[in-house]
Amino acid sequence: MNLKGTLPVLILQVLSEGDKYGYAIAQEIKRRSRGVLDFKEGSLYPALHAEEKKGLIQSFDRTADGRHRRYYRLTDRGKEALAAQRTEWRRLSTAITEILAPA
Amino acid sequence: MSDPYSRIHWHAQFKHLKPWTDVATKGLSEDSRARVLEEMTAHFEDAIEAGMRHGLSEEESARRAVEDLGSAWRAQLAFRRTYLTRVQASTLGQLVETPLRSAPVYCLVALSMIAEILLDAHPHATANVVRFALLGVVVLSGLIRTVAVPRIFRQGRRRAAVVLGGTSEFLVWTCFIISGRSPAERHLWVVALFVLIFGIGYIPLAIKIERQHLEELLEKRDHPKE
Repeated sequence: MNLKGTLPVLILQVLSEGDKYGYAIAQEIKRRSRGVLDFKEGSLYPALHAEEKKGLIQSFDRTADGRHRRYYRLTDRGKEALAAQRTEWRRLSTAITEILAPA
Repeated sequence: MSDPYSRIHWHAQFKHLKPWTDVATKGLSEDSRARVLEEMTAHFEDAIEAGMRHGLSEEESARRAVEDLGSAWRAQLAFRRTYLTRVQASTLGQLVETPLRSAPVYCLVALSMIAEILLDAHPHATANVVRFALLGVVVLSGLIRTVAVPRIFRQGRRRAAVVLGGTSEFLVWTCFIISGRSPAERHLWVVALFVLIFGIGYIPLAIKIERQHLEELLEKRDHPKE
């Protein structure tokens, strides 16, 4: 299923649970979507960089297990944006569920 | 620039990842490209090692890792929405950071126009007045391009600066061309060509700058404390 435009909010959600690097974010989204979402890992980085430019997340370098990686963390602004988008998503999904329910 | 690819699984990186990143980062400025390559390489290494832990060969892991990345063309489009392209970064740099570098060229253009007017005066006085007027436009446009545009940009009016910069540069070259005594039909073609060149160069840049500026304004409006 292709849910265009939902990747940014999924990224914010994953990062709200802790700092992560790109590959770990991609794996977490895949694991939790159980293969339902048509998620291509190449689309992750443009989305990460765009969110960073908006100030919703910030990146920093960290070396772990001898590997140098760029980690991402949610900013205060990102936390507020995530809360707002969660509320919006619930409203939207409730509305769609009601429309799709048999009359 | 140093080699952006790491030494781990380097053969697989060159065979599988490089063709993907070549497309995905095509046209991006060097800084942006380096940033993307750094992360894509780390991602690719992680993906290969995860595949190998599941019993796949390095070759098969690498092939699947690139498959999982999806379309490089889609990634290129997405990166271009976020970053300035090489041409746009260079245009913006010339416009804002190194505007005085073009000053000698504009001086040369103005001097050659003066020389042409003095050495090759037109029999009709009105024509010479027009040529002097064109000279005035060149001088004024040159001043706007080299002095006013960077200031306007620093004041935060970015789209205005890009549009003004492109327009003034267009005027300099157009006035220079039409001040000569070649046939008027040729002038029209040259002006049309300039409109095309400057339109391609500056309009997308102005749009992108404006979009980024609007996003910043919206963020400031939504989060006034930060």
